[in-house]
Amino acid sequence: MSNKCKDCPVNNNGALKRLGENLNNFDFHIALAGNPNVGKSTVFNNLTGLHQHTGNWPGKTVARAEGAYEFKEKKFKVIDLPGTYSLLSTSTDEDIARNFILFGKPDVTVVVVDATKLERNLNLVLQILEITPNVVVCLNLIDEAKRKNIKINERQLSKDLGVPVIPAAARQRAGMNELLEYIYQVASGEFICKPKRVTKFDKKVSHAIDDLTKRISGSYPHFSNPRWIALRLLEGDEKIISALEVSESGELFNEENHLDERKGNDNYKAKEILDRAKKYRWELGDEFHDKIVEDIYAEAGRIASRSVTYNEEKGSSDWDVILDKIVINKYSGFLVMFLLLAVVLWLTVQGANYPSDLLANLLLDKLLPVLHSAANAIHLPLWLSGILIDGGYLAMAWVISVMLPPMAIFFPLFTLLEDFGYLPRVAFNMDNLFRKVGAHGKQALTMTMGFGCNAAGVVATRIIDSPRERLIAIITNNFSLCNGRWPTQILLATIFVGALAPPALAGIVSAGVVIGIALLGVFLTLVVSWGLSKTLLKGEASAFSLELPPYRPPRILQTLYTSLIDRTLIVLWRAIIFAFPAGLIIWLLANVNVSGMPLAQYVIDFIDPAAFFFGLNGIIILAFIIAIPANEIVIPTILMLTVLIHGVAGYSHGVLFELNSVADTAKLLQLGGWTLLTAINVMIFSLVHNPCSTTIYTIYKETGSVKWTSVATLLPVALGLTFTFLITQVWHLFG
Amino acid sequence: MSLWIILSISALITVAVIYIVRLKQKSRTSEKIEIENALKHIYTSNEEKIPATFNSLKGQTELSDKKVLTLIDRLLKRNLITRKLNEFFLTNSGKKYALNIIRNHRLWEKYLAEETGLGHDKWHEEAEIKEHFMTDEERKRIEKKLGYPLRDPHGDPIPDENGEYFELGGVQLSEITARGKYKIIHVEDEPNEVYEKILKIGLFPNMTIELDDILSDEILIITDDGPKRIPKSVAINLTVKPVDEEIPKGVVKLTEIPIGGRCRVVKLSEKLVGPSRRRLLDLGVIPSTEIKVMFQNISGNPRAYEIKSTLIALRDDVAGLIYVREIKDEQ
Repeated sequence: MSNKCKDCPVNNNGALKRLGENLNNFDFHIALAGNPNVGKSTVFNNLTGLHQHTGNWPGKTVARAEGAYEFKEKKFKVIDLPGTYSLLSTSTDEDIARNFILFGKPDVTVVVVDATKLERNLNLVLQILEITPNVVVCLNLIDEAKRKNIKINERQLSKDLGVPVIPAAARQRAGMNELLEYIYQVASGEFICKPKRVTKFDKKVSHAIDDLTKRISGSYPHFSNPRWIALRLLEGDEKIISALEVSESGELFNEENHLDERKGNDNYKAKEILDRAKKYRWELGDEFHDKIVEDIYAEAGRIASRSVTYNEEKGSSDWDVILDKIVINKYSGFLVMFLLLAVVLWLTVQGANYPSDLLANLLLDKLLPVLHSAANAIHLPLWLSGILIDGGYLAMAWVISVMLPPMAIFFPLFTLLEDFGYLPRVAFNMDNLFRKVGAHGKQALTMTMGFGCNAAGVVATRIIDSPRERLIAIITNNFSLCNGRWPTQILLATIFVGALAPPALAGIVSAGVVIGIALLGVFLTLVVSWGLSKTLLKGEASAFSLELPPYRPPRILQTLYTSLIDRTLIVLWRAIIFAFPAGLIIWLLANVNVSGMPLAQYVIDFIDPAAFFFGLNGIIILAFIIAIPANEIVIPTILMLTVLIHGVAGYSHGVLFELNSVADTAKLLQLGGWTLLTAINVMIFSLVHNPCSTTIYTIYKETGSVKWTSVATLLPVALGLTFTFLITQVWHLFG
Repeated sequence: MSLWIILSISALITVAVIYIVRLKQKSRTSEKIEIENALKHIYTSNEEKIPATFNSLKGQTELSDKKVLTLIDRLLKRNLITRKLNEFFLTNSGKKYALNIIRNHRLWEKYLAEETGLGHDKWHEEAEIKEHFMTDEERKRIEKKLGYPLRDPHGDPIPDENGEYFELGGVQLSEITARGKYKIIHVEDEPNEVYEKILKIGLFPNMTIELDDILSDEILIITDDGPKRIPKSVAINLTVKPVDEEIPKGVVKLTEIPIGGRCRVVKLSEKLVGPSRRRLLDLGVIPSTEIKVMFQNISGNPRAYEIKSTLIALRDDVAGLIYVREIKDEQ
């Protein structure tokens, strides 16, 4: 955050100091909980000054984020929990949220609720109130509620819940000061919460809960929430059961007694309680969970009806419906999807040319000679200036001029669509395809994330609960053309295919070809998912539900800022980090001679005969190997190797060149023996080859399995080689 | 080029070596499987008071005389069974072993039912293999993941680590003489032919059925999916318990409500189990919740529903398990 923002009164009431990630010595721990898509991450960012990415699709915060702030000279650590509808089930995100509130013992739990959907949100609030009394409810999106003519009496709500309720509009930073104040008051004990507990349970359920609660509080008088423990025992919660069993349960709830002294006694009591819980579970049967949920929802409904009034007149909420009638309509849904994709790509293709030339001009034409003369001036040995400037620097300069412009256009556009809430609609439109191939419906979401970055797509698969379908989503994510590969496609499509079309249409034709490649990737995702469902990962698609969040007007300036900082620069930085050493290696390979021939020549000569069958050449294969750490550097590597090996006229052998336009690139590639076939094969192979090393590592971390990591790595390589082989043979047959 | 040839030959050799090692491992594991299957057979025979003999074992394992003898020898040597005349009985350690395998089997079935998309007809088959290879660690993980389940998807109790479990109540459907509502609490999955018939008719545990008429060789029932006929030979394999709940008239599946229509949830089908049931409940799909059908995608499946002011997409396979009553416009 800039200094100007810090001084702005909107951000500062004098007492707040955002500490970002500075996580030391805290007075209080604050947990942020809430349903998905209620603006939790926005509240988190407001409190801590961090820029946790806020996307408009459920399940985006898969792990918990931490941040900190200082208020009235006390330090607060904030933990952003994954968004959940409930804490009663067993999915991963709910486990994280529930266990943190229970075992992490936050001093205050802030529940962010959506004012436009109070009843649904109160369901979660009531469950949290069962666990911990120290709750502050942040009634977010109050502006949206106003627009929809929904009035909420927050005093009534606060009285009914027994905890503070703060109306807020986090996106406009409204209500944040009051929120800070009440968090402070609850944490410091100035405000004593009297939490509402659900009392109207079904008779049999009530009896079981009461009996267990009595036994638990009899044996463990120090537990602050015996009722919740009783409830969880009846649900068969493993954490609670094992906590009671090992008698470390004291750790749970403000334990002060000495564990060792009571251990023997406790084990006996624990067993008795667990046995009784088991008996009740048998008696209550499978409907127990249903009944609990129904009773809590009923209570939520009663509370909501007391504090919410709907104005009969229809508000602007209908915009969502009108928009959805076009965007996810039976007839127009797919059309809109293709059009959006086409527009995004066309803007990227058209828009990237000019800044790309500009950057190349600056970095290669202007800066390179300066660096050379500087090296001469300080009498750097020739080999050192060669390796540093002609190797490392040039590779870096290349990556920046080729990669930065398309990324700087594509990422913000993609982020705008994401913030707007479009991604879940893509999943909705494409779901029947995924169902038919035996994949999870949310795989469409993770696939779309893969268009940004495959590693991010693989992490996003955590939203898929079924292990089989999650593996399918992980293995096939690589078929989503990631940002490191878009520029490769765009460049080659422009040079080799766009050039065939009349100049006026070149942009559109190139964009069309790139869309074709991206769609081929989608098609492969489906086919490979189908293949996996029939062989290695047998099974049918499991049931799922997908929330289609309301559209949120994208905040264009903020999106530009965050997507430039969070995505573009980070991805670029990664590319540069890998490009520099890759440049060194390339320079060494091309300049270290063994018996009169550069090393690279040996490698290329070795690969060449095999590469021929696939319509590729040794340089290309070598470039793909060197570029394993980052797909972004494939094209720069190919160009550098081509120059170095072929000693292209106009550029001195062994030293890199000045190349600043698409036409020059085309000329160079043609000198390197490229034909339209080579270009097609490189485009195909760039789509279908091993994931980059970051993605491979992420896959390993997420699956914990060498076997599946190998499958995910090698399967695309095998497929890519098969495709290029077939294309080449067919081409030769008819060519 | 010669380098390429060397590379491919060495790759072939590696594959061959791996294959041979695999074959060797296989013979060792098949011995383990035979022992465990024999124990299971003797356990069920003992429980059902049917004599477990050389012949019954031979029939069950489908092995040659000689192999069955070796197998019995091994079991006796390892003190897993004892012999009285020509009948076999499990020792305490044998019983514990057998229950452990049964536990693995039922847990795995439960896991397949709740966590994977595998069809019901495959559960038993897969569990027959998996039961022999479950490590303690894996079993622990699955138990935790499933929330210490008490019964497998067929309604059979899953023994706990001490081999203890609760007996089922209920009667065989073939024994029932009174009309009325019943809940299926257990579906026997053996023999396979009968189990397949049960699946074909569309019966499953926790399902509520209404007994309509009892004929000489058939039982007529009414289910949420319409009337069905159950042959008496099949009814033996169904255990039921009387229930007193009413399924009201005029109730349809959510999938039958047209776009733009509104309805109120009456109940969730008992077929909806595990995480998908819990997820729906969390979303607020509970009796008396109002649902409005909003959109459908290009294929008409999934459709998007407005549930408690949130737009939720559900595939038809799930929406078809939600029973609702349509709300006709009052105006």
